[in-house]
Amino acid sequence: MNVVLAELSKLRTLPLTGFTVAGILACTALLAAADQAVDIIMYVQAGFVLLGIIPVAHEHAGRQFGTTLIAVPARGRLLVAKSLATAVVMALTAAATAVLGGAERPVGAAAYLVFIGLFAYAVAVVVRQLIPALVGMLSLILIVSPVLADHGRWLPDRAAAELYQGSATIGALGALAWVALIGAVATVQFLRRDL
Amino acid sequence: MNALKAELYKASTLPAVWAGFALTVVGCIALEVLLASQGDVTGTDSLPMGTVGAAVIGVVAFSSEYTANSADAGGGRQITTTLTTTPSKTRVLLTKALTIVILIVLSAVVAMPVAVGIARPDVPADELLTSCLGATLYWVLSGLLGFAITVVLRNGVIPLILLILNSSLVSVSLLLTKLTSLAYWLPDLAGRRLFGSGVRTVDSGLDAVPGGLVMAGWAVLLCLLAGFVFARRDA
Repeated sequence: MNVVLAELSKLRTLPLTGFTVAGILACTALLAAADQAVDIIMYVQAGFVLLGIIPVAHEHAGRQFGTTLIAVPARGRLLVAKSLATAVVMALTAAATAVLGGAERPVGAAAYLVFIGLFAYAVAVVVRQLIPALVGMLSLILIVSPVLADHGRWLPDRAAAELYQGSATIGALGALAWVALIGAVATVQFLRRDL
Repeated sequence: MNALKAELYKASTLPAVWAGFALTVVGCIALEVLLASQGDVTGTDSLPMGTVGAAVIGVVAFSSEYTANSADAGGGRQITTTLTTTPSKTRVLLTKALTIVILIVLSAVVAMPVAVGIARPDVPADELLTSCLGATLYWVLSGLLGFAITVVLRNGVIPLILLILNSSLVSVSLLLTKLTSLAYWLPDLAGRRLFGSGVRTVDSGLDAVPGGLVMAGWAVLLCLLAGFVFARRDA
C-alpha cells in the first residue's frame, strides 16, 4: 500500500503529469464545445499515450530508478504498485474525459482510453525512454492502424476500439490479450534487466 | 564547413536519427507494397508516410543537444559543448538546419526510387519527378518546422506529438478547417498538394505552388523566430 502511495505521490509531483491531464481535459472541452461530429477519443488518445509513458520514462531520465529500487528492492511489488498508480491516474482522467466529451458509450470510451494508456506504459517499460516510446506508439495508433484499414483490425488500438464502437466483449478480449502479451514482455524485462 | 561536418557527424551517431531515417524508408516502401497488392498505385501515394520520419529527424537533431547526460557522467548537456566549440549561435543553427535538410533529402533519395519501382505506375516520368520533388520539399519543410519548434521549446515532446498527429488522419489542422477556411493556410495543410495528384488529399485549399510557398514561409518564419530566441537566450 505504501508503495502505491509513493508511486502516486511521484506522479502527483511531476509537473508533466499535471500538464498532460490538463491538456487532455482542455482539448476534450474545446472539441465538445465546437460541437462538430468528430470522434473526440481519436484526438485525445495521444494525451493518454504520453500519460502512460511519463511514469516510466521519468524514472530513467536520471538516477531516480536507482533510488526507487533502493527504497523498494522487490521488483515485482514495485511494478505492480507502479502499474496500479498509473492505472488510477489514467482511470480518473479517462472517466472525466468520457463524461466531459459526452461520449455515446462513456464506459467503453473510458475503458479504451485506459487501455491505450496502459499499453503505452508497458511499451515504455520495455524501451525505457520517452522519445522512442512516444514516436512508436503515436505512429502505431495514428498512422499505421488507419493506413492499414481492414488489414489492421487486430492491431491493439483497433481491437480495443470495439469497446466503444462495436461489440464490447470482443473489444475487452482484444484489449486483454494485447495487455497480457506486452505486459508479459514488460514484466520479464523489468525483473531481469540491470538498472 | 568544419561546423557542418561536426553536425553531420553528431547526427549520424544518434540512434534516433537512424530510427527516423528507417521510419521514412521502411514506412514508405512497406506501405507501397501493401497498396500495390490492392490495386492501382501511383508510386507516390505512400510518400505522406515519410513525413513522420522527417519530423523525427528534424526534432531529435536538436532536442538531443538538450538531453542531460547521465548524472554519473556529470549530467551535462551537449549544447554547452557545441556552443563552446562553435560560439556563433547563428552558425550553429544554420549548420544544424543544413544537416537536417541533407539527412531528409538523403532519406528521400533512398525511399522514393524504391517506392516508385515497386509500383511501376502508368504515370509520365516528368509528373512522377514533380511529385517526388514536391514530396521531398514537404518532408524537408516538415523537418525544419519540427526543428524550429524544438529550438524554441528546448524539448522534443510537443513538436513530435504535433507533427505526428497532424500527419495522421486525425489531424488537428484538418479539424480546424471545419471551423474556418483560414486553417488551409496552416503549414501542413498548405503544402498538402506538393505530394502531387497521386495522393488523395483535402478537397479544397491552396494549390501546389502557392501552398508550397506558404509552407516555406511558415518554415522560414519559425526558423527566424527560433534564431532570435536562441541568440537571445542563455544556453
